[in-house]
Amino acid sequence: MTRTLGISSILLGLLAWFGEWKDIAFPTARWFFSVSREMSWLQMPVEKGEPFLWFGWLAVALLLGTGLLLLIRSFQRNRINPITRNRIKRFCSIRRGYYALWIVVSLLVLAALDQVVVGKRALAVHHDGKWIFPAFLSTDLFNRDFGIKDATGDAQADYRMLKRLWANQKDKRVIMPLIPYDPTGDTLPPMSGALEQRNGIVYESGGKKRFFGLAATYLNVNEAKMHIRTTYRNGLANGPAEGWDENGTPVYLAEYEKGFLKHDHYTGLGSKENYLSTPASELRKIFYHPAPPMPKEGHLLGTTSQGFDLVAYLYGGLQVNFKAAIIYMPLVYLIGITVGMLMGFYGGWFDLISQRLMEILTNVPVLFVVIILASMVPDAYKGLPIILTILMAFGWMEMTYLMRASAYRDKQRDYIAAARVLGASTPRILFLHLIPNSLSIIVTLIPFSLSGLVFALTSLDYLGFGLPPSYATWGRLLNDGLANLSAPWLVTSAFFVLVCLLVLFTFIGEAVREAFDPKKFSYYR
Amino acid sequence: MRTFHSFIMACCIALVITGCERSEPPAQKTADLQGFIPMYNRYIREWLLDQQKSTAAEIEATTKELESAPDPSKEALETTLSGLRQNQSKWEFRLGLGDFLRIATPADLPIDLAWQDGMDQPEIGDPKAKKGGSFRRAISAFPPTIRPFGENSNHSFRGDLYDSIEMPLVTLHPDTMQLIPGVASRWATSPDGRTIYFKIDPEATYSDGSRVRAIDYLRFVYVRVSDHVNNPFTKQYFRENVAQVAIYDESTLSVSLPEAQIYAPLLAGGLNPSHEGFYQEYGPDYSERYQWRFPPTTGAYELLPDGIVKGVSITQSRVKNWWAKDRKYYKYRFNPDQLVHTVVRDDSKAFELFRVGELDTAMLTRPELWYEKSEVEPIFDGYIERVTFFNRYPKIPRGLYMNVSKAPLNDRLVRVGIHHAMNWEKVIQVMFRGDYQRLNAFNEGYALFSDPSIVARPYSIEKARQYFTEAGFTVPGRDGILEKPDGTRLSVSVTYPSMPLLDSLFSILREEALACGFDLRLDAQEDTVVYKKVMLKQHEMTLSSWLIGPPTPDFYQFLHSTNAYDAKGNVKPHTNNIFVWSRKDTDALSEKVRTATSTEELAQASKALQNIMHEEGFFAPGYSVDFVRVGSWRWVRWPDSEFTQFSPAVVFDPHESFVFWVDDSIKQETLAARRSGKKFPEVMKLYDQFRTLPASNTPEPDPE
Repeated sequence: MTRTLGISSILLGLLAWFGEWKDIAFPTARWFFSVSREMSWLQMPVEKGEPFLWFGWLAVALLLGTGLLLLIRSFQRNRINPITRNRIKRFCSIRRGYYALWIVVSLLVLAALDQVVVGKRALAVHHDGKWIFPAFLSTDLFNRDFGIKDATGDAQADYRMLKRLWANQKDKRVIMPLIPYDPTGDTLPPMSGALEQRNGIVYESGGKKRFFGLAATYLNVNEAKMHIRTTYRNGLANGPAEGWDENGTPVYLAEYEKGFLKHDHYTGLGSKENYLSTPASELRKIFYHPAPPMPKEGHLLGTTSQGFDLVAYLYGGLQVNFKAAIIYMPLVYLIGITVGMLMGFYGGWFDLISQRLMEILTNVPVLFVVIILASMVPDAYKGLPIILTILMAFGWMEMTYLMRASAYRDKQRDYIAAARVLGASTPRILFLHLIPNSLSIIVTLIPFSLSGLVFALTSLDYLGFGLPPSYATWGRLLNDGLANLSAPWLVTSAFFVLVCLLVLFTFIGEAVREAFDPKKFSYYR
Repeated sequence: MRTFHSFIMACCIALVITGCERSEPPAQKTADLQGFIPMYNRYIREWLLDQQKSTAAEIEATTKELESAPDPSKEALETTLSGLRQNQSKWEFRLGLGDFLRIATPADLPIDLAWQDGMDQPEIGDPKAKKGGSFRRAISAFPPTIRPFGENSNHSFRGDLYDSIEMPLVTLHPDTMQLIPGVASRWATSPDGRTIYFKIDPEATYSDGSRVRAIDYLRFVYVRVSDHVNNPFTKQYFRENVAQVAIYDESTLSVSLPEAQIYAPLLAGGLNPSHEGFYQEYGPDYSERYQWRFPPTTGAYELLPDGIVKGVSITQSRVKNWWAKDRKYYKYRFNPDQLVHTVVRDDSKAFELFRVGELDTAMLTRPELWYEKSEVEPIFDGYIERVTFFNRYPKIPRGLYMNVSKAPLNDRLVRVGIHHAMNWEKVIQVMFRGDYQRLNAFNEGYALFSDPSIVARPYSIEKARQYFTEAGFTVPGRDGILEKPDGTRLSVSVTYPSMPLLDSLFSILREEALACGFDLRLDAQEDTVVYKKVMLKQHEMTLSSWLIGPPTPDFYQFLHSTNAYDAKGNVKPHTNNIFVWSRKDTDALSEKVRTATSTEELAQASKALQNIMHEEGFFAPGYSVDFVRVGSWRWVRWPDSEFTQFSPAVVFDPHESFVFWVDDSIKQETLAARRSGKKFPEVMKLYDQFRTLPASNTPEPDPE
C-alpha cells in the first residue's frame, strides 16, 4: 500500500511538472500550477517575465519528495507489522466499511479524472485533417480557430455548438466529455421541452394532460432565442403573448382569450405578417432556471437556479471536497500530532503554555471567527486556500490532546527508555517509536475529521461565507434549493450527495475503529 | 416559609397597585408659537450673516489662490468661485427678505398676481368606484412610532401613514405631471419666481371638522424645527432650502425659496398644516408624549386610537365627511372605508396569506412570483386577477458606476469597451425571463427631460475587443485576458453587496466578459463594507441604483466637480459623485439642471448631460423594470375609465394613487362561489398604454 501511494504521488508530481513544462493540462495534476497562477499570493513577482509560481513548485517538490520517501521506505521494510496486518484483515472483514472505502476510492479516482468526465471543452476535435485536444491545452482556443467567422469568432470556442454544427459532416468531429458542461461559469440559456399539439389543443408531452404554463416558438432552440412566447391555459392560448426580433428586441405584443386572438400590436421593421411568418421551431414548453431533470436534453438532474447543469455542479462540489480533504488532512494532522506529542513528551512549561493556548482557541466559537475572517479577506485572496488556512488554524487541536495523553503515557514505558538508552534522538523516538504505537488513535479519527471538514465547508457555503461563486459547492446548492422549494430536485440532490458522502465516511470510520480496537490486537494484551 | 410567601404576595400587590398606571405630568410649555417666531427669526438671521461672512472669506481666499495658481488647477478654482458667488447672491436675497416666519397684513400681498387653479387637468380614477369595504394589506414591520416627525419617524410605514395620504398645498397630477390643487385652491408665483402665494381652500378642514388656517403652516415649521424635537435633517432643510414662510390673513400665505426653480410651487407647496388644538401639549417631552397620537389630518384617512394594535396591525379609517370628497381630482379616489395593515414579517408567508384570501392584493413583479408561485388554483379559477401595468416612473439608474480616477477606467476607450463586454441581455434572459428591459441611459424615463434617442451599447465581442485593442490592450494572456505589451492586465473589480441574486448576475457577466478578453473581478462584500468602500471612493466599479423621485432629474450630486475633488485636488469622500467625475462643461450643465426656470432649459441641459454620459461611458446602464405586476382578489376593482386605466402613469406602486375600490357585493359573490366550487374565467390583464417599446437598432421603420 505504501508503495502504491508513493508511486501515485511521484506520478502526480511528474505530471504536474511535465504539464507545466510542455503546457499540457493533465486532469487534476494541472491544479497546483493553475491555482498558483490565479492567486497572486501563491506566486512571487520576478522582475521581467512571468512571476515565480512558488506554490506549484513547492507542491511538485512535496509530491516527489513524499513519493520517493514512501517508495524507498516500502522497499526497506516491506514486511508489515503482524498486528497491523491483523487489523487490516479485520477491517477487510467488516464488509460495510470495506465497501464504503472502495466506493470512496472510486469516487476519488472519478473526481481526479476532472475535465475528462465533466467540462465544456472537447476532449478531441477533428478539424482541417488533424486532431486537436482542447481539454488538455492550457490556453483556450477561439471560435475562429474552427472556422467560425461571425460575431462570436473572437470568443472562446463553444464546442457544444461546434458539435451541433458539424453533426452531419464526416470529416469534422467533436468528442465531448461524458457531461459536456462546466460545474460553474457555464450559464446555459433557458431550457425548453417538447409539447404535443392535437386538434389545436396543446398537451404535455406524452401525456393526456392539457398544458398550463408558458410556451414559445423559437428562432433558435439551442440558444433559446424566442420568437413568440404565449401563455397557455387548459391547452389554449390565454393571456398575453410577446414577440422578439433576431436582435432580441421586443417588437410584438398580443392578447389571447381561450385560443382566440383579441388584439395585437407590432412595432418592429417590416410588416406584421412577415414577422409572424418568420420560420421558427414548433411550440415548446419553456423551463426557466432552475429547470427540472430533462434526460432527453442531456440534463439528467436539471439545472441550478443560476443556470448550471446540476450533475456537473455536484461533480464540481465533490472535487472541491476531495481537494480540500487532501490538502487539509495531512497538514492538520502533521501539526496536531507533532504539537501533541511534544507536549506529552516534554511536559513542563511547554505543555502548560500550549494547553492554555489551546484552551483559548477551543473556547472561541469557530464558525463565527471563520465568518468574520472570511468576510475580511479581500476579493483577490478569496478561495479554497484561504478558507482551508482558517479552518486549519482551528482544526489542529482535535487530536492534540489525545496524542499528548498517548505520549505522556508511553514515554514512561520500557521501549521508549530502551530507545533512549540506545541513543535515539527525540525526533526518532517520537516519529519511529511513539507514532506507530498511537496509530490506532490517529487512524480512527481520520474519517470523522473528514466528515467534519465536509460539513464545515458546506455550512460555511450555505451561510454565504465560504468559497467564492467560481467554485461549485454543495452548501450553496443547498441554500439555492431551500430558496426554491418549488424546484425540489435542487435540495434533494444536494441533500442526497451530502448525506451519502458523510455516511460513507462514517461507515469507514466505524470499521476502522472496530479494526483498530486495542482490546482486540495490541502489544499489551 | 410562610413569611416568605406573604412577602412575595405583598410585593405583587404593591406592584399591581403602583405599576401600570402612570399619570401624565402636565406639559411643560416653554415657548409657544408666538414666542418662538421672533426667536427663530433671530436665529436664522444670525446664521445667514455667518454664512455671508464665511462665503465672503472663501471668495477672497479663492480669488487670491487663483491669481497664483498654475494653469491646470485654474479651471477647478474658477468653478469653485462661481459656485461661491452664486451662494453669496442667495444669502443676500434671503437677508433682504426679512423675517423667516412672518406675520404680514393683507396689504402686504402684491396685487397683480396671476392666480392659477390647475382645474384644467383630467380627472383621476373611475366614476364607477364605490365607497366602502375594508382593504387588507401586509406590512413587514410594525412602526416604532406614529408621530409624523421626530426620532424614528422615518420608518417604512410612513408612506402609508402620511406621505401618500396627506394633502399638501399643491401637488402633481400623477398622469400629466402638472400642478393640481391640494389644500390650496389657488396659487400664484411672484415675478422673480422665488415666492409662491397660496389661497387656502375655504372649505378645507381637518379630520376633526375644524377649519384650516394660514397660521397652521407657521405652526408646521415651528413644531418641526423647535428645540423640543431631535430632527436634524428637517431643521437643515428649512434653514437652507426655504427662505421665508409668510401669512397675510386667515387663508393666504406665501413660501419663498432661496433660488428660482422649475416646479417651485411644488417644492414650496409641500407644507402641511398643523392643528392648533392637537399641539396644545407640545413641549420638550414631545417625543414620548406624542408617540402614539395621530394628528388631525386634511387627508382622506385618519388613524383612530382603536386602530392601533401594537405589534399586530394598524387600521386607518376614512374621514367621515372629508372636505375634498367631491373635489375634481379626489372624488373617485380613497374609496375603502378602512385600510387594514397587518404585520407579516416573512415575504413568503405574506404570499401564502394572499393565496388563501387573507390579504387583498400582492405585488407580483418578481418573475418567480409571477410565474411559478402564481400557478395556483385561485388564479386558474378566476378568484385572483392578475394585471401587468406599464408605468411611466423614471427608471432607476441601475448599472455599473465607474470610478474614473482609477486606471484603467480613466481611459474612455476601456470604459466603452466594458459597455460592450457586459452581456446584460443574457442576464435579462436567463435571470429575469426576458421580462425586464435594458436600461439605456442615466436618468432615463423622465418624460420631458430624457433623451429617448440614446440606446445602450449592446453586448458585442467584436466591438469590445476593438475598443480594448485601441486602448492598448493588444496581447491575449495565457488565460485569454488581454494585456498591454508591458504586462498590464485588462482587469477591473466590481464591488457589490453579496447576495444570491447579484452573485448569479455577476457570474454571468464575468463569464461573458471573458469572451471579450476582459477580466471582471467580483468583489462581493457585506452591505456596510460596500457602502463604506464606495463612499471613500476606493471602488473601481460598483453596482448601484439611486432613486431620484419625479418630476425632475438630478445630476449635480453625481457629476459636479465640487463633489469629486477637494480644494487640494484629493478625491473627496462621502459625496454621491462616485464616478469621481469632474469636467467644466458637465459642472455648468448640472448646475443648470438644478436652477433652470423653464422646462425647455432643463430638458436641454439634462439631455446634453445624458449624451455626455453616454459618450464618455462612465455609467454602464444595466437593466430596468418598466412595469409592475399586481395580483388582487376579484373584489378589489381597479379603474377602467376614460381618464384612468388601472392606475395613473407616474406611480412606483399603483396602490399609492388610491384609485382602487373594494366591491362588497362581488366579495360576497366570490366567497359564495368559493364555497360552492363555482369557477370564474381566469383573468390576466395587460395595461400597456404607457409602455414605450424600445427603439429598434435599425434607423427607420418600413413605410408600409
